[in-house]
Amino acid sequence: MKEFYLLLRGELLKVKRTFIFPLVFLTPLLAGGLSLINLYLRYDYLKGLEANADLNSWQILLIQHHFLWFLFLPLVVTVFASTIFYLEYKSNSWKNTLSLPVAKSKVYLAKWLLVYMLSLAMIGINGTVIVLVGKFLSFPETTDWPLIFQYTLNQLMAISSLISFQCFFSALIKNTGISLTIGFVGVASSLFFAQSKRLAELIPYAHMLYALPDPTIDNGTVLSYGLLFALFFLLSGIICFTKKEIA
Amino acid sequence: MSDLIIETTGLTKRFKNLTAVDSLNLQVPKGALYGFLGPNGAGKSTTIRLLLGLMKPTKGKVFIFKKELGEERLDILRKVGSLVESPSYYEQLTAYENLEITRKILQLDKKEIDKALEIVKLEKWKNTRVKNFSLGMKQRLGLAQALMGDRELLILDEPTNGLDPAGVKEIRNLIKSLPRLTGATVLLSSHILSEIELIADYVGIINKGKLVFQGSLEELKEKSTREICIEVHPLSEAEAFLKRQGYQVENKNGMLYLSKRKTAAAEVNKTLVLEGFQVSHLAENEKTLEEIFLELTGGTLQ
Repeated sequence: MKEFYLLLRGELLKVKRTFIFPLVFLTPLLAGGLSLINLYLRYDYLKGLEANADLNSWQILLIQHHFLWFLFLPLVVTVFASTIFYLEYKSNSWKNTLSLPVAKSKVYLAKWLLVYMLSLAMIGINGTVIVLVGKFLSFPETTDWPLIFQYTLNQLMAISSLISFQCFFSALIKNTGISLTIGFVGVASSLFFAQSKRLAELIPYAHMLYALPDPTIDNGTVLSYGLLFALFFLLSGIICFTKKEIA
Repeated sequence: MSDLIIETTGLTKRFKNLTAVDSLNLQVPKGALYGFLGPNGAGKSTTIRLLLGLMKPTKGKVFIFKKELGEERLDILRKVGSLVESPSYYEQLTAYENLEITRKILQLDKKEIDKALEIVKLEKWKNTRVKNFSLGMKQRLGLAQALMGDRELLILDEPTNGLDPAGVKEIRNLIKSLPRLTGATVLLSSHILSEIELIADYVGIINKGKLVFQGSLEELKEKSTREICIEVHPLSEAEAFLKRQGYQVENKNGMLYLSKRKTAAAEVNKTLVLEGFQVSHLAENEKTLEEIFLELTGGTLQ
């Protein structure tokens, strides 16, 4: 366990002075800033819409915010996954890393976990930013903590499949451009995939769209598929990476 | 050679139609500075990757510290430092931070970083980002990475590649001092004969995936025993006569070459003259290591 912890710390050190840490903070801040402007200007209009009649201000904020965040988060996570593996390819470091007394499976798992931790940090900051936006706009209702908690939890489930999927490609394809393109195209197409619940279940890029807590939609099934996909691609990635030869 | 640090038995690696390493029986004695020599594309780097477990052999086994690599890879690698071709580094990090990553994995004390930096004379630049390093400094940093901890075996693949003459000399001197400074056995691969000749005490020569020579540098030099070159008339009769006398004779460019060891030139001369041949030139030639290497590898040399 200590070995894995130290390996993870090493992975964390490798991304020092890259654009990864600034992105973790700036992405939720940018999304939050845009949501703030959106609701500052359109709060009364949105509140007055018939479709929003039964929704409280926090729910409206979350829906508006999610229109941006369902793209921002997966795009940035795609960049994280590609970059973390790209650093090894770029510095020609696989041979060095894998010549050290550490199991290949743990190296892969540490990278996967690092992407997950960075995503977790972003999701956490995003939650904080949403609360701050609501406070700044002085919503009449008290903070809807269960809603924000549920949203955070759903994102953690939804994003896990995308992390596993992107790590799988990033580890196996030396050309980072390909894994980035797969990710970007997948994220851009996610809105179309999500039109069909069946497709949404099977396409990891669409899982994020179902992270928004909505009692009228069955999010649970899609998110469960997300976890299943996450596990499947994580294990596939570990197996393929362990068999990979370093030329 | 009973105390072997590395031993491979029938080590073979095939890539589709290409056999990169062919039934290699490498034997690296403990405490040696073993020069692994061969032309470009001979199979040195593939062998090194097989020794480090970066590739799986198609056939054969690797034993390091008398343990089988396939079964006890992690135990073995704990005591092996390596530098495979160009050094690996994260250029946005400092020299110290790069070594810190290795230190964490090896679970070493922090002072090991300073110790390694001191050996490679990089302590002054430990807080400098690697992207500002010269190639020689990067190579030294790669060596520092290989040296960290109590490594009993260092595997260095072409560590002087791409360096200028001053850099080559500097790294060569550093490698030469490693067994004394660290007590480690060193396997050094190179395609440059002079480099190996200057620092190695054991040599393995690989060509087209096959080990064509293995032994001490003295044993290799022994192959340079004299060769007698004779200009004689009539040539073909003299050649036939010497062959009948039991000499190993080769006819090249109008000269006869006797490669039989311990052949006394005077004796050959007497035999020919007494038989009525006209000997106009007779000389003893010493084969240089370069010539031996060319012979073994079929003519590629740098």
